[in-house]
Amino acid sequence: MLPSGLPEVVADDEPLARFLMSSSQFNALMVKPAAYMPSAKDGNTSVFRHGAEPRESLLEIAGTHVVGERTLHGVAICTAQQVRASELNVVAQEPPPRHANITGWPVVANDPEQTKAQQKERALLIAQHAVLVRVPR
Amino acid sequence: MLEPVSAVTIQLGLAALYSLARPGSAVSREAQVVQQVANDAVNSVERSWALFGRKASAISELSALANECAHEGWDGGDARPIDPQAVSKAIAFMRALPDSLPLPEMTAEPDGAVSLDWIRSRNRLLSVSIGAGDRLVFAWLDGSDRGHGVARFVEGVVPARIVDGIAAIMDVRDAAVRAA
Amino acid sequence: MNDSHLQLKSAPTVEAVLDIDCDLPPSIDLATLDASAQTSFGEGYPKPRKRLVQAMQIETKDGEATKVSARHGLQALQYLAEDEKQLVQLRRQGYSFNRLAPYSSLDEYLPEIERTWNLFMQLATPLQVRLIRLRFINRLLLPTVEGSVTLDDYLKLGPRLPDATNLTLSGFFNQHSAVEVATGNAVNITTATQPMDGDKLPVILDIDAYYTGSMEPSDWTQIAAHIQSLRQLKNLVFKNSLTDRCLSLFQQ
Repeated sequence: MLPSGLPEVVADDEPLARFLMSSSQFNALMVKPAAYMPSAKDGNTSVFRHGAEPRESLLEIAGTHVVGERTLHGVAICTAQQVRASELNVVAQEPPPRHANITGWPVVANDPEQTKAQQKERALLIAQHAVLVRVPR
Repeated sequence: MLEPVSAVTIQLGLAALYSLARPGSAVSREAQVVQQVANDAVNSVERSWALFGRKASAISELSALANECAHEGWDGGDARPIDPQAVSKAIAFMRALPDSLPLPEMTAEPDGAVSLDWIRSRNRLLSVSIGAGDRLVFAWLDGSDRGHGVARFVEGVVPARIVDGIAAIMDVRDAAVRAA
Repeated sequence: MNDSHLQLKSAPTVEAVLDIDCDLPPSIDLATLDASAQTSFGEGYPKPRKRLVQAMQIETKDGEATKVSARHGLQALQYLAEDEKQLVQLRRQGYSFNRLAPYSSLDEYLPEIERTWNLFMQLATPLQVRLIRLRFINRLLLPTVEGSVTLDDYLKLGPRLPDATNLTLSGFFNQHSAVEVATGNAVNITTATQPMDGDKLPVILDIDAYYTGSMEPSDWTQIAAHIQSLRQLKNLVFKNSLTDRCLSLFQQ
């Protein structure tokens, strides 16, 4: 059991929230794939183990751990199962509470562009299923 | 500076003109003269709303995005600032895009690249990443088909694979003219 | 140009450039090649230089001062001869050989081009050649009489005004692009005027011939064959762009 009270292993049916800090990261149809691309620094994509509801606690997580001085534009919600179906994994990583990483992004040795191309395809697969929660202004 | 008197290049396509307007491998003073005059011709064309209005709006939108994502951590995590060279290359890419194709949506990526997205639906989209280098990264979804690739963007010509991919996803016919 | 087929005594070529664009290995970092390249090219080209490309970013926020930042990228490593009339370049897109005036004949420079191309191959290990370009920039000094010149006396494809009686041409920039169907070679032909040089009107005739196709970098025979093919196209364009009266200017 983790400090947050959540199990160490992220279950397939758990919802995962990715906070969107730019309005360019989504449109009327969908969350864009770039929103799921991994960090250039640690190679992971940061998510929180929370669904669209309760909305208050979702926004509290964003406000406490992510937003800072910036503006939250939306939240992308997908399931761990959808991530794993994209040949990636979700691994709990606390603190902060409820934090997890999407891991297992492919890497092609000595070819950063091929690496990114493969990662981009996986990001498309996740974005295909992600649901957008708009944040009221 | 005198206005250029020849508008033939406008009808034939601007790829050769853009190529001249870019710094190339020639080093002589005369080469710089040609580049400057070509630049003036490009500016003249791009002042026209009829000839360049759509793309001018898109480039303006890209500039706004670059402004929004100019800081480290713009995504609330550890995203790198958008790379100015990636922005320049994205502008060159949009200039080179055939006029028959719709313009993309734009967003920044955590590694500082610009992502250009053509989104028909959740299941039909093509995304191109443009960084500081000459190799473009792209991936697509078309129903159950999917794939990815890398292609070079040089000489101001959008790779045929990408032009064809965009046309297929967005259901555009007659995208055979590859030069802008 | 004082090419073997044209026999010009005083060629108007101010710069001849041969580009061989190729795919470099993805892991290649141009900057790390500089030290080795200076050693390889040092004997004939002792003056190294870097060509940078700069991208500016201007950030504006309400109520805050505008911030300007710049990011530099390395576009090419250049190695110049002592007299700076000839240089070799290692570019992100491939190799270049530049010859500035005085220019004699491509035959004279081809052995050196082959030698430096081989050095480039050892340094950069290109995977594939994608494009070969031969660009000749010529500066034609057209004599004027009382400050004016009839362009048709010198240029076969000169500009036209809609009303030659009431309008006087004060400058032009023209560009034509064409494909040589038989060879697949393409050419961009650019003409542009410069400000008067004494009593002469300088007209730049820029002939940029290129071939796009995949080749093995080590196959110099094939590369050289394409260079010769482009040379023929360039000569044809040069000769057919200018009147005999113009060509005679370069025989003096």
